[in-house]
Amino acid sequence: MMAAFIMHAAAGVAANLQSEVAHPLNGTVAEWVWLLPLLPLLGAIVNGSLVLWPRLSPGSGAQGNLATREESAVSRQAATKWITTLVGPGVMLLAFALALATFFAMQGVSGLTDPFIRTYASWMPVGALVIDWGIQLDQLSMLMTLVITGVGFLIHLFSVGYMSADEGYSRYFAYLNLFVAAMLVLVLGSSYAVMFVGWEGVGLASYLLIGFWFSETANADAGKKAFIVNRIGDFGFLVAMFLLFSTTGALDYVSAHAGMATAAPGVFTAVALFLFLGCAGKSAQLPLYIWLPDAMAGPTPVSALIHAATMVTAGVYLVARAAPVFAGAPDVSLFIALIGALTALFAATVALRQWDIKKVLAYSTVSQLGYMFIAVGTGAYAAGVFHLVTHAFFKALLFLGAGAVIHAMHAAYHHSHEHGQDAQDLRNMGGLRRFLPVTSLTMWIATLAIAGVPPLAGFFSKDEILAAVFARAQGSPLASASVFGIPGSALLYLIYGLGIVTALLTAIYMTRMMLLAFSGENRTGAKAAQGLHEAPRIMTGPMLVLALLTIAGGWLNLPELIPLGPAHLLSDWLEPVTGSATLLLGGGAHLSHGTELVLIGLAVAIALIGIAIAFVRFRGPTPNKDNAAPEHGLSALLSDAYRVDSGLDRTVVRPIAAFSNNVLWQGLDQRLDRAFVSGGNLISRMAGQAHDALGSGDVGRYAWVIALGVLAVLAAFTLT
Amino acid sequence: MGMDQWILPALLLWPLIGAVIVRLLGQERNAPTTAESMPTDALSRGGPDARVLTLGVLVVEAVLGVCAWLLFDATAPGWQMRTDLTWLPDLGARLSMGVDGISLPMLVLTTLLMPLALLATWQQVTSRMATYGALLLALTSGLVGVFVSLDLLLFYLAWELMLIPMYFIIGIWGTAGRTRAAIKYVMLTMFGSLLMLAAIAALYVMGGSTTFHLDDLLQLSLSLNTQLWLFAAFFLAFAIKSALVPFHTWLPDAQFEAPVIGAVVLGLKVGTYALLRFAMPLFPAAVMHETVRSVVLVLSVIAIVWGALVAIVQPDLRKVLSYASISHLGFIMLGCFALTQQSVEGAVMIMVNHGITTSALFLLAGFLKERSGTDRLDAFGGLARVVPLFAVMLTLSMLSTIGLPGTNGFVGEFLVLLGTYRTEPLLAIFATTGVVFASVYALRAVQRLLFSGLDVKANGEMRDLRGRQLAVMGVFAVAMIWLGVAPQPLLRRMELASSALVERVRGTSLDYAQAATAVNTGANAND
Repeated sequence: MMAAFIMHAAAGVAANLQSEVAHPLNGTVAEWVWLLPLLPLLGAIVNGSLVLWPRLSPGSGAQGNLATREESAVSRQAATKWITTLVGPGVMLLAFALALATFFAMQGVSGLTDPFIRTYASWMPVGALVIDWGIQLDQLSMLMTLVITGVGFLIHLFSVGYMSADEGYSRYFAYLNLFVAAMLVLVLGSSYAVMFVGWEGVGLASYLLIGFWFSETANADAGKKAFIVNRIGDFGFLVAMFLLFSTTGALDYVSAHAGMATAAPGVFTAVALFLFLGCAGKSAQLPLYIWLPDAMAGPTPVSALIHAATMVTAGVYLVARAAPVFAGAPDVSLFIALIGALTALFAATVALRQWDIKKVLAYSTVSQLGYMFIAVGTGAYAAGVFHLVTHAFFKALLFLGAGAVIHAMHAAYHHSHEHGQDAQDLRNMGGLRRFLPVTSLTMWIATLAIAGVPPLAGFFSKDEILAAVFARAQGSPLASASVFGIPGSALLYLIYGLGIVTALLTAIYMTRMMLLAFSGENRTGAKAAQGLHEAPRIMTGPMLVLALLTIAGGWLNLPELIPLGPAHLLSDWLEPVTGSATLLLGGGAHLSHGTELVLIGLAVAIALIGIAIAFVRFRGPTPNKDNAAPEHGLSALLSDAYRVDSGLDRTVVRPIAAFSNNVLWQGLDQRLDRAFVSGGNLISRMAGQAHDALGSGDVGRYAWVIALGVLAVLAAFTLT
Repeated sequence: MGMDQWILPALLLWPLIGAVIVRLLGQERNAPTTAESMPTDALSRGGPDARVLTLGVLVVEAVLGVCAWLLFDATAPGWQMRTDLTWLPDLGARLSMGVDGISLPMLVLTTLLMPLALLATWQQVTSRMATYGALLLALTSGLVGVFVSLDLLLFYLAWELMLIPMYFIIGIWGTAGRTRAAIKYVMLTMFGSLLMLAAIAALYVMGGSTTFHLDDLLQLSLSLNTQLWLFAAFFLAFAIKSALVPFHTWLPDAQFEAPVIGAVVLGLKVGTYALLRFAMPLFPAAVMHETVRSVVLVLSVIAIVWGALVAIVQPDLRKVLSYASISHLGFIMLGCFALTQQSVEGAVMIMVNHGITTSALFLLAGFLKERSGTDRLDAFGGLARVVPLFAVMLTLSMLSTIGLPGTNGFVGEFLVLLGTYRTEPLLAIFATTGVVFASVYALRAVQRLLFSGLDVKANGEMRDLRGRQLAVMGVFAVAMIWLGVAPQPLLRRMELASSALVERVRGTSLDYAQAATAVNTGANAND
């Protein structure tokens, strides 16, 4: 229905091209950009209908008991499964093709500086407030769209294999398509308000997918936690919008940013801080990261798409999108970079001691998102987006690989009838390379990439971030700003140092994970190991494509120093969107080639040292999970993630519940109620016999008294 | 006489006539027919079924309501579809009716909601159906009267006309604790209404004892002191009726003990409508009075947080919904008293949304009760596997309640907060924390009911939504998404009335550019 509405609106606008100024993209395939979010939305509607349709038509066994209902559900699934397989990934392929076509159209025109903006319908027009359903196509949203539809399509394909035996197959694809639709609204919207629709929309899809296997209370709890923690961030996003509107009278990017030009510095600071609260929620930064590790309760391809490649990077996108605002608040920008650096280090230390393969990757994601915030916080927007893209490749690959491993482990335990065993615990794996060669190879490529080994994608993007931080520590506007009284220059060196340490830890924990899972003796158990097998091609195919992207992704934005091809492709591409903001924060920063070479050398050395440490430390035999000795001291603290969750439960969650129950409800509310009732009784007693009516509960008589009373009052008026 | 002149009296009187018809001709059908039989076959069995007859009357009323919607001209200022008939000439009271962009949405919402609610609760009331139908129709008439009256005496009559049938509906068809709940409701509301009656009488006397008409009384020049006293009387009446903290405790009990349709009607925001229609324009100096404003605005924010926090710990779905309503009411009050174009339109929007979303939720709670005899959250779990359509509707309605963008709930809440921020930034920020707490109570309820294992075996046999109930819920679902994506037909119609209200009370239009400097003393009640 929504789809029909938007299509109708789009047709209406196409008829009268309003007062659009001549834009080089007018009349090109870019005019069809509204189809991008609509295609996956359509997929979601089709897949959702497949789930619900049998329930709508009577006489399909819906009246029977649960057992027969589920029986008929199984037979129905066989019939509808191929439609879902066709539609779910199909709409993604179409969207990706359209995105590519649009990209080439943008490449084909010269002088593309202004964004291509189309409004399709009015949403909330109230007085001075103008909010339209509009799309803004520019270099940033284009890039994000390519990543979302491209990586998204690959993960949809992978899911066809991964979820094939699940009874909720169509429901899964309905949610996954819905997610992509919301994500595309998020990046393509032409105003903060429309972005917020996508922003909470992806949160909803994430909630539904984390709790996809909702029969387990823990999964449902994880989904709920994700949504609520994200809402704390959304609170910040909302307040930022109110501030923007009351300052500039607009919420669309172009007018709001133009209006901010004359705003007071305090306004910049406030808007930036509130927006960043939103970013910290969505992108799992300190202290709001707590939902992301729990979010691993969802199916693993979901973790790859939503909790690694796309949704969690929305905060990074928001900072880049609002670069004109953040660049006007250098202190907040520095603060963001600092939070990013602390998050990166914090999460990396936790990842060192995780045993659940997905938890390692979850904390790794939190850590890598920290790098992205270091970048956008220091005004290196292009570097942040570059790392966002490469991370989407290698982390999606790592998660898909973990999915293949878990898939195999489940099959193994199914084979040996040991259903109680933990299929995600690294201590139960070991030696998987022999059974899953493709998975092992592709995951090693991604591991080397995230560790920062050249010439893989992660090396270039991480190096560019750290180089930018180092460069800005001298002579840039950021260096002369300060946070909490600490001069920017010192902070930037500190952030650089934290980044380097994190890089070392990253190399260690990733290599540890790979060694535990794929090397050494197999610990799955002799009988179960017979059931271990490589994933089907529908799953390994997407992994191989992502592996290629992980190898080649660095070429998107080569440094000048390394003459392997044209330099700065991505920075140049993003120049019209973030160029001026980058100058505002980082202008004047410069690195000599000598220094840059030293930094690169240091980064490579750190990566290799980290890998070497892990090889020395984790090569030896590891006990099976059942035989593992309990952990003590620091390792226990790390594997419990510093016990933040239980601490928050004690200090925040339970006190609020207790306050609501004991003070507000049982205390005030109930007491107020009693006071009113006894007050009422008192009045009625004074009124005489009415009390009898109350006491006897003769409701009818009492109401007639009221009726007569009203008539009497009327009569009294009439007589005067 | 054109249609626009008789449509409002018709809307007011038709349900009353219908009530008499239903009471006299309607047949009691005590034994419920088969669960899924449609109501149309009843006529063949000697005398019309009271329920079918009631539904028929309500459907006609809904058609009239739609006609009113179509007749309304969004570009014309002032009252539309006016009627002005002699009523009590000695008093000067007249049957004066009219609608503007604030009352029209409430009016149409009411006329559409009543037949839907009756259809959805078709099997839930099975005794004394002729009386039940007649009372429902009288109640409808009272609601319509509140929304169309321009004469204060007529308004008062309609206001009380709502009370009596509601009292009976709770008292006769309610659950175990109905008597206490009904009496508490009536006592508190009556207390407020009497104060209001006194204030109306005072206004009448000050106006020369010749007229009760709102337009005439708006011309009065009242001293600040008089305004403060009269406003206090009106405000108290409306605050009690709309369950503003701390006068809210009757609502959870009444909505819990009432039959579901009663809970739905209690959710209609007549109190805040009356505030916008009468109390605020009549006493602008009082509304703009520093202390009054502070008290009401702070109470609103307290209500938002209080309602949401208490909703988090409720054991029953309907109690969760009641406290959520109390939280919503805070948003409405905030929007009304923040007095900007956006906040007022947002407030009216929430009033409409509340009528859609909370009604849907109460009906869903009713379905649970109808099937299992309870709506305690811990009596369920894992329902999503058993009743997926119910699960989808519950989730969608809850998301609308907590203001997810793309649903109607977001539009109202966003406009209120955005508009409030322009004049009261700090309070707006506090109020915005409500969105976090709201997600807690909503998702808690959803999870307890729908997710986890199917602990109670009997629930595995639960029937999903079908037939009438499914159709009604479908209408609600469409409305929630439609108003979330394309609210402008509604917003466009509210625009003139809302700006007129803001201008009248503030004495300035508070256009965007003046937001920062607009501080109005409200002394110019005389325009």
